[in-house]
Amino acid sequence: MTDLEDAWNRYPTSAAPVSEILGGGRQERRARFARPALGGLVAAGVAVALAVTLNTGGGAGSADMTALSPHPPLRLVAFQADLKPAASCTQLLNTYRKRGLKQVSAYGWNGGIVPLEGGIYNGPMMKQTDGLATATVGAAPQAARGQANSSTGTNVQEVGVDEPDAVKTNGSLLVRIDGDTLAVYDLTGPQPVRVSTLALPYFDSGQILLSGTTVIALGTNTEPSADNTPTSRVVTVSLTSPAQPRITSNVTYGGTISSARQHDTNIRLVLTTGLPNLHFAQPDANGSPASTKRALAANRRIIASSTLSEWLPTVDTGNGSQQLLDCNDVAVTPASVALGTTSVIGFDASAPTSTSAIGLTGQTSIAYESTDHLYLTGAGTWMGPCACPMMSSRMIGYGGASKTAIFQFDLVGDQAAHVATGTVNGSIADRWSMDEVGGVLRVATTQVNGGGIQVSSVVTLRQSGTSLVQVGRLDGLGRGETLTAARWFDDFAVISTAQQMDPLFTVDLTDPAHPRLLGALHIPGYSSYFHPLGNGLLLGVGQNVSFNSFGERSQGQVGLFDISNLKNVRRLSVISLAQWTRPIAADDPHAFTWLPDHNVALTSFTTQSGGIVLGEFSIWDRSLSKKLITVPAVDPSTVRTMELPDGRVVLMAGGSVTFLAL
Amino acid sequence: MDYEDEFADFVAGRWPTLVRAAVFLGAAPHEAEDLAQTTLVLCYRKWDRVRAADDRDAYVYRMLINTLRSDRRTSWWRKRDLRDLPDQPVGDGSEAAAIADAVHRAMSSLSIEQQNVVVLRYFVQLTEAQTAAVLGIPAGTVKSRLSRSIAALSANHHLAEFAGGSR
Repeated sequence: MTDLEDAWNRYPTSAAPVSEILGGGRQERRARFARPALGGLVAAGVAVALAVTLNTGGGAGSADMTALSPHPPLRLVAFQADLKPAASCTQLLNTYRKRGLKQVSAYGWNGGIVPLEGGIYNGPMMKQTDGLATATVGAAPQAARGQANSSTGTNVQEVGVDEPDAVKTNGSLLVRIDGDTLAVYDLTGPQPVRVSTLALPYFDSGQILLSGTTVIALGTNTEPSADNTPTSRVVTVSLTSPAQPRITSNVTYGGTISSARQHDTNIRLVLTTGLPNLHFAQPDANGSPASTKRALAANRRIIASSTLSEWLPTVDTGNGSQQLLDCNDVAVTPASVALGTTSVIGFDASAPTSTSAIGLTGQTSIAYESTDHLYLTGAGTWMGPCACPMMSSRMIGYGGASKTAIFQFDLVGDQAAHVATGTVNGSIADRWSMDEVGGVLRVATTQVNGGGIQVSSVVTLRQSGTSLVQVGRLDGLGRGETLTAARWFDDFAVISTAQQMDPLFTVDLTDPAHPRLLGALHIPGYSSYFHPLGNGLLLGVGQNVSFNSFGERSQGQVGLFDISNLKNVRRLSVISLAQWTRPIAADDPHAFTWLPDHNVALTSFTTQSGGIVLGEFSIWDRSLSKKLITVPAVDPSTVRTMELPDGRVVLMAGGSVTFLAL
Repeated sequence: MDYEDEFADFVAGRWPTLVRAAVFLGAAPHEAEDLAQTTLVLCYRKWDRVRAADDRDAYVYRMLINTLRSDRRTSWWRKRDLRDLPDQPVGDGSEAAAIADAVHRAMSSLSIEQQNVVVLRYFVQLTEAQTAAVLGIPAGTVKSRLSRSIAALSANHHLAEFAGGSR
């Protein structure tokens, strides 16, 4: 170690560029800085020169080093903005009861709400993807190569933020989940060889994450819960010896996992817990006014005597069911956000039973996670953080909500803290409609105007104090058309809408305060997923819909676009598939893989006969060529492709795992 | 103390360590200064939160790591590529480059997670609890990663090579 210490001490540094830093920060420093100083600056707690000589034998020395600088550990204040944590359990329970009373009818909750399934809820609407082109993996500038799959083999929205999927790889092993069964394959031989399977108890409909040799399986708990509400399971499995996978933890949560993300070894879940399953009364069969009145009164009494354990999610790490959230880690959301509980849960993959969790008293809808923030959205008419509870207008479908609340959370390790709230007019289709770069959140929204015509916008927001404030917007995209795909780059966005002629818009985001429409390419056929290929090329996967005397016909379509001149985007090449084919990536971009080294995109389609074809689209000399591979008819969500570090490509289709010859 | 003066003191005090930490975490000399500057500009924008934090250093190093490890797609990393900066470290630039190169070779035997721990805990001398807070991992993990990293570094042949060149 002494040589590195020597390097540390000898490394020459310039004088600190204080004025440049002050100048750079001053422009955007938040206005509310003028607080009384907290006293003199603590002497720099960081020793510049090293005085310690460590015993290089191992972990010795830790104890003495701890004594050197007595800093307390960093703790996050969970709620730093307008959402206030409950002052007490009593106050929290009163909030749930009060809001519950406004919602209950003679038949129970709003005349009966269908509870969400447990397990992973993939969200409605557009799909679950998107991204950026200039991202980098490792040290290689990604701009020239396009965005490859994550290190575990998944096509993700945000480089560095991994997403759960049906299959994961670490390069030498492949793990897939099918129902309750985890299967492990060795990829080091000429063909993938299944080395083990493991049934996960009371587990179904899962997806997995992979951290080193630890599999984190997230799914539905099939063991009925006491109150018959949906519950979820998070099972970790060690693959230290791949032939003998071993369950290392098994945690159940009360609710549905609506989002899961992984940053390095940090796992973050968004758990949605619906309204409690209370034993409501019912009016008699005729629904006579008297019995309706009696039932309503009874149901109101039931809510008035409901308990916190009925409202708040539970966690069971194997030692019995406990309340997941402390009352003062739950913040009260505006009444317009659908009643229920959203929990943001974090843990390290190596310690899945040691979680940190905070909650909101509402069911948020979309979760988008950038590299350093989590954004949750709540649709509905939101009136701001005032004490003016209004009857909830509940969640309105896509294109219908007049306002959407966005809650921003800072992410620190496994902890999350709510730091700002904002609202946008209109509704947000899915997580791919959101993107954050350099502290600016860009959102594609859709609003229905007075004439009942829907129209889309791009809105830019930035955190200012405890608010996410709008800094710019561009309106009027695709009048009367439906937003079908959005892809965000550092300085621009490509947005596609669909009607009859399907425009592809390019939006300049260089100045967040003034998003500008740069161009619109009107072409037949719309894209439902865009993937950046680097070198000014963009691939659009979508459909071409035509109308003739036989009615509507549609077919899968893949287009290659030159976006090097954003004012004049050109379609270089287009390939159509057979009638009635449909791209799976439209709903799930995990069904897409870009292979930068091969200049090949792999993406699958469903066919008219219910089968699946995998399209291999080669980009050569700025044009596209295709090869179709018929895949056994399986669940489309089990058709995946991924590239291994050595360049080989794996095709998984249901239980079949093979290497694909390109 | 005036708000700006307070921050200026903070910058002057942290600068050399931040730059060195960036180099040890894998940045090239000109990137390291760029990165330290970006981190401090971010701190300035959020200065009231930084100074209200239980622990400023943990906050600052968390920002440094975030900027380096997970935010390469934005600002500093990208601008660096586009500007194609001439390599102009201070003083004898070749010395900085030589040291950085040797450090990178030595550190490359460690995983990113191990590098993070060894730089923060051993070189920057954050406490175990601070390191755990910055990286969002349990304190016990800091301890075990540190001991494995130190063992690996002492056994690493790059160290011997480096020792030979510099002594």
